[in-house]
Amino acid sequence: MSKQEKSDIELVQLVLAGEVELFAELVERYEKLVFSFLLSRLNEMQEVEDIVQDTFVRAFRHLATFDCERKFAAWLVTIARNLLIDSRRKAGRSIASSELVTDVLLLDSSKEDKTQPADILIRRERFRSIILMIQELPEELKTPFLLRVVNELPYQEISEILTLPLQTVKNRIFKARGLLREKRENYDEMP
Amino acid sequence: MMKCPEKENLSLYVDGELESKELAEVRVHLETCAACRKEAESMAFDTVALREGITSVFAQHRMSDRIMCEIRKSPQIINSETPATSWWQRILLPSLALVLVLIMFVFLYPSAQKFQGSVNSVSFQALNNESAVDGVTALMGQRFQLQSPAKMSLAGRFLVSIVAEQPSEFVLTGKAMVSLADPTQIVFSNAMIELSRYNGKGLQVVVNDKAVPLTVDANCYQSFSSKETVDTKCASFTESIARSAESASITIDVLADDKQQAATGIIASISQNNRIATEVVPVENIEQPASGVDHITNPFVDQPLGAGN
Repeated sequence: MSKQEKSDIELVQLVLAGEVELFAELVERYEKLVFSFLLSRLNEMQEVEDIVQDTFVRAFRHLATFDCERKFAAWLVTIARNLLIDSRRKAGRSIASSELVTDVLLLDSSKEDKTQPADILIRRERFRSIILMIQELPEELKTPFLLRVVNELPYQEISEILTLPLQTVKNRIFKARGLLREKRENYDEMP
Repeated sequence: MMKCPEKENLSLYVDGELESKELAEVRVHLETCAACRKEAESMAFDTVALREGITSVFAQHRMSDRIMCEIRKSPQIINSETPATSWWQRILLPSLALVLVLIMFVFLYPSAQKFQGSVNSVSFQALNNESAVDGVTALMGQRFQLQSPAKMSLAGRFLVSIVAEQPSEFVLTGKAMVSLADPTQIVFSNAMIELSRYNGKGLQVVVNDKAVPLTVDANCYQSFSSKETVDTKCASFTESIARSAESASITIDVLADDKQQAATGIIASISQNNRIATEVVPVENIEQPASGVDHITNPFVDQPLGAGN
């Protein structure tokens, strides 16, 4: 059986049995999800990277405590959330030395690559025009919206990961889209 | 042409979350309604643009190699099983530890006054999961200490605890920059806030030098905003209190006892440049309260943010 066919629970059990390298498969599956979750809650990219790393290292160290009845993604988000709380208690880092998330998102997307097809360049330009608007969304709307858009998670799974009712997830994603549309219309109307 | 679907259904359609019957209806509608088709296409385009953009950024900030490198340095998993212990270690030792803690609590902390702390101590506790401090969402119950000379931006709903000779608590809803200008002065600036539901023996509000008592039962609150008229929603306030925020001066005094003798004071005033300043006045000759202040323990679970937002 190839690695891709193994479920999260099977991978966890194999890692617990000693196959440490198989943990990399879990990292591969969920790193982007944890990244997206933290991107919506932090201002500094260095902090996003640090907490992504700490989340998975802590998940590995405490893998024996993982409740197989839960979704592994939900457990990771819980760990990431607790690490966010811990990071708030520590002495503040120097903002001048750390890239802001918004700046990174804009800079990385502005790198020109003339070999890219036109439709990709058009979408990249659209991304740059709306990413600032996304960053201005309220946290409670931004997180489920990014989990849906970036990770293409079903609404049911988002509701389990964020421990929110399904209807709340639907409402928040819908509201996020509505606010984004309003901001874009106001932006387009500017002379 | 069929009636346009609810916009929420278009959002669900773009995300593939509609049930088959509704999906068929929306599809048929989109064949004939240019406006809805354009809306759905715009949503889908934004979705793809965001996904590609953030995925591209993620690809340049991947941590998987560093994660596995860190794990390989020390590939031990903490064992959740505890070694076998005898019954007396499992039951008796924890019980003894609990008794010792209780004895220490009784002899070392004989009265509530020991917990009052210093006049300088001000903390904010998030009352829902939608509140943010310095732009970062706080978890419900998470507490933040305000220490001079730091500034803090608050947005949401917080229990503000001022630990002094006479401790007091109030709920702040809205947005403000908060700082401790000196050991006795809390400053709210750029504020759109409501203050409500306090704790303490008594609370007095003075508007433009006119004192108005707030009783525990009144549940009154005031809005402070640079753009809105000061609006008191408590029936016991007189009409003269409702003034524009630019000229209003609001003083909140925490009183020592029910006789409303001013003791420790928390004074809030709005100046014409839209700053709300508070100061804690040191106590002189106060009467000690009969019992300690009971902390409000998260009574406002997941309530919507107030009008100040």
